[in-house]
Amino acid sequence: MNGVHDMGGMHDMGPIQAEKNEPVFHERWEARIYVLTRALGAWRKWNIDTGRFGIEQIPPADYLRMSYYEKWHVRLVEMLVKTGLVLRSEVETGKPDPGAAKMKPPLTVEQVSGVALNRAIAPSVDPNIAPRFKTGQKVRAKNINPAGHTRLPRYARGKVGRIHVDHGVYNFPDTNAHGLGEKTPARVFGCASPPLSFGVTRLRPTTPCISTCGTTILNTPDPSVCFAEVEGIPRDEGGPVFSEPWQAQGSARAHRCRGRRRLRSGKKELARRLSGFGKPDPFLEGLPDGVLLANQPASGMKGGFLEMFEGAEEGPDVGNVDVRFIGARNHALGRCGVFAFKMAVQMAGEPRLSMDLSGEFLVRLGDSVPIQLEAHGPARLVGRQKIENVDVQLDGTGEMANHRQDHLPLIHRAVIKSGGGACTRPSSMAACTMSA
Amino acid sequence: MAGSRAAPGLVQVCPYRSRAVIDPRGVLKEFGLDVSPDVEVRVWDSTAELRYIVLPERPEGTESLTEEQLTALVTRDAMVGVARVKAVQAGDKA
Repeated sequence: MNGVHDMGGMHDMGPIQAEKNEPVFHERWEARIYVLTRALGAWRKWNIDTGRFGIEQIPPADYLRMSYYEKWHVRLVEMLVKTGLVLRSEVETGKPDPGAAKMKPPLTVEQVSGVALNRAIAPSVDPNIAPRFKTGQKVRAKNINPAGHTRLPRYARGKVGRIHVDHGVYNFPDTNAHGLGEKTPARVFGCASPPLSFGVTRLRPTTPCISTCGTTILNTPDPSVCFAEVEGIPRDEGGPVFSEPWQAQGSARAHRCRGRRRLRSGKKELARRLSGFGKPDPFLEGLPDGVLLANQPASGMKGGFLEMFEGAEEGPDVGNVDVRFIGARNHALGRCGVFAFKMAVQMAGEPRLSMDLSGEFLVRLGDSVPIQLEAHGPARLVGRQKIENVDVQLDGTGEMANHRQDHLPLIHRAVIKSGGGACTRPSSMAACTMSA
Repeated sequence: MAGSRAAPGLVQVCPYRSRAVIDPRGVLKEFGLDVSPDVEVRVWDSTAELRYIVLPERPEGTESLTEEQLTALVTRDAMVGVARVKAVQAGDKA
């Protein structure tokens, strides 16, 4: 789940406060909670992953406020109630319910110290499961957003990295947390993400066009919306009334965020994006496939760790280059053939980045030398096609655009020129301005 | 062994957990450990099952020390990975 526990990469959580000569427990009750939790694990009503999910389910505000063992305490109570070991009424009254079922035989100190406390977790279960990826292979962590437990933190999702080490086969926490662990052992890979250089080595060039926030979403609220029109706030003849100043502030702030025009345009923006659902859209990539179910891993994620990754082998950018002869036109240099081209290019290693370019170029009739299409920018395009006895080569670079041109208001320019010999004359060069 | 010990306080708190993956040098600096710019820092975020043992770097000038003397130099912070082992003699604590 995308909870506050998944805080890797977040800012403003305050300075590191290292404690000198830190004790194992600061208070006696902390040790009691710790041992109680471990000891009750002997009943095998939960596992380490259900336990972690239990912590994650603490509401965000409580989660941030509570100390470590306060969270353990809340989790212990909730798990005891959920698994039927204790009734909610027993927790609330502090007295055992005479009618409540008892676990038999009772847990003894010997059992606890011998089994529960020192039990190693999640041993390698079946070393014979074949690895899908090899060490050194490039993979991408999927951009999943399960409502259940996951070990794929948000900061790693969508990132490309290399398999660093194959740790062997383990239960899959994403399913084990929901009682499906035994069926889905999976190999565990250590995966290093190369862009994280932490200022030591070179910075990786960034791709210029991953901007998934539409301008509509980032619009400032409309100040013209009338405060008095907001429904649902207490008011008298003189207008809205609040019992505390902070309520007025909060209401005003909430109201500003809900400016009507923004709401309308936000809906419009969302509708526009949803209309492209199913297509590889950077914004929609963040939405999960299929229905989100509580206490379940993400859809399609029952097969283990490997489901979290997809191959991201490097290769050339690939795509279709469609060039067609569409007729002839009189030009200052003479009669020219007109070729229309359309390029749909998929960026290597960047499944969400693709580019569409289209336009036309002129070739003086009678020239039979190769024509070269060249688009300027970071994306390298390679293609070759023979049309009407003219050998058209595509070898150049182009400005990257989102695969749907209406998403980013960029003007794409592609310069197309004939290559080699006499055809390098400016006259056979055509500049095409792409539609925005 | 894994999971049988209580975690040190530093890994339980939000400042550490939020920043370790994005600003490891800054985090270590706040622990009092300056990592030279020519030292590469790699962040290893553990999985659900795997834990890493920190093997502290052996300080210079300790080649002649016995295992017992070396053991006396190692602090908890060095084993957690937020401090270097200092080459003071055993029993010669400042």
